[in-house]
Amino acid sequence: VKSFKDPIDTIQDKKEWRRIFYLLQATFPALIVLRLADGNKPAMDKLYYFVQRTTETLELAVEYLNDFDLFP
Amino acid sequence: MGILVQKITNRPCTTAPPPDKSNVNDDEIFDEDEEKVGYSAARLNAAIADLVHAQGLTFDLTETACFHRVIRLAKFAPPNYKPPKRKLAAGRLLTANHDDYMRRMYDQLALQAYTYGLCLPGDGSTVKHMPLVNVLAAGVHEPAGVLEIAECTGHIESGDKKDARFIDDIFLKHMAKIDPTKKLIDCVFFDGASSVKKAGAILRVTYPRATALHGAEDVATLFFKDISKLAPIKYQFSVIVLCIACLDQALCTGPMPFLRNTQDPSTAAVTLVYCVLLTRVWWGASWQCIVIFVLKAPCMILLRGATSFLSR
Repeated sequence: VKSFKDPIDTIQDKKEWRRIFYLLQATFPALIVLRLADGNKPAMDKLYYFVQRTTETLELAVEYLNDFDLFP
Repeated sequence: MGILVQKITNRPCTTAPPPDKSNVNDDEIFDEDEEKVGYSAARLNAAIADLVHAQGLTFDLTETACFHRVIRLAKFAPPNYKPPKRKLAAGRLLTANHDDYMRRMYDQLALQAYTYGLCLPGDGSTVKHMPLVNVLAAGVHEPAGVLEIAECTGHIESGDKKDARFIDDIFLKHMAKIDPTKKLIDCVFFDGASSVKKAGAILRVTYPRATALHGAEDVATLFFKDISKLAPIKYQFSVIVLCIACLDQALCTGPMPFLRNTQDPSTAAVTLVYCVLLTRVWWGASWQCIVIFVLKAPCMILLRGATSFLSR
């Protein structure tokens, strides 16, 4: 039961969820790119769109990802 | 048909009356001791099966065109024919076979190349600590021809890397041979590695008609691989793996037996753990794992609800 304490602290830590949120926010369009490239369907137009979105999202996320309080 | 078979094999037709054995010269098959053993389909089949099994060959060998060609030619071999020795097969015959293959491949590549163009895919690989660079070529009549599998051990030994310049040198050598006028090659195709991407860009400049393409999936995977190596993200992964492992434990075998029948979240949790374990192979999966982790947050809330129970 003691081994549960650390993960529970992690789950209850709001900072942890914020970290996960910012990481996903920055990389979610890239994940869609990966799924599109991985799939067996033609998706060049969507691919181009989501590559643009990835670039924009990464640029927007620079501020959060460089925050030393969140990501020491 | 019977006459045709008789003409080809010089063997009496089955519809014909049985010939006198003293006149049948075609069935004169001799064994190793030069004794006449005669023809037997079962014996021949057994010998072929023995060849496949004893030499560890693939079972579909007997259905390949090469094997059928061997059998077809062997029918006309005289009794005193000796197969080539291993040194001959591994020496002059190998060189002759290679030259023949290359000549046929270049002929096929040149066929209608002015209309449809040529594509040169390539990749760097390391097989059992041996650095290699594969150079392939594809045309309308030759979907995958191997131009060269260049071994780069000497280059690496001298302290250099398998960089863009080195890959370019290997490719340009073949490109100059196939297309000296720079009018045929219209595509070079690589995976997402940075060195070959750069090599593709240089080739594009050297051959203005050519377009350099990259595998999109590999590029995306390498992006995730690179960012997954950053220290904060690596730490985050370890935390999430721990949470998922504990969530799985809590839902399946933990102190909440009433949740044991909740198949969906526990199955998801087990899947997630394996997914994270597999991320050593495919880095993008770890990020998808985080997405599923967040989507399965209700399970975590259940676990949070259990904290009061656990802290007692």
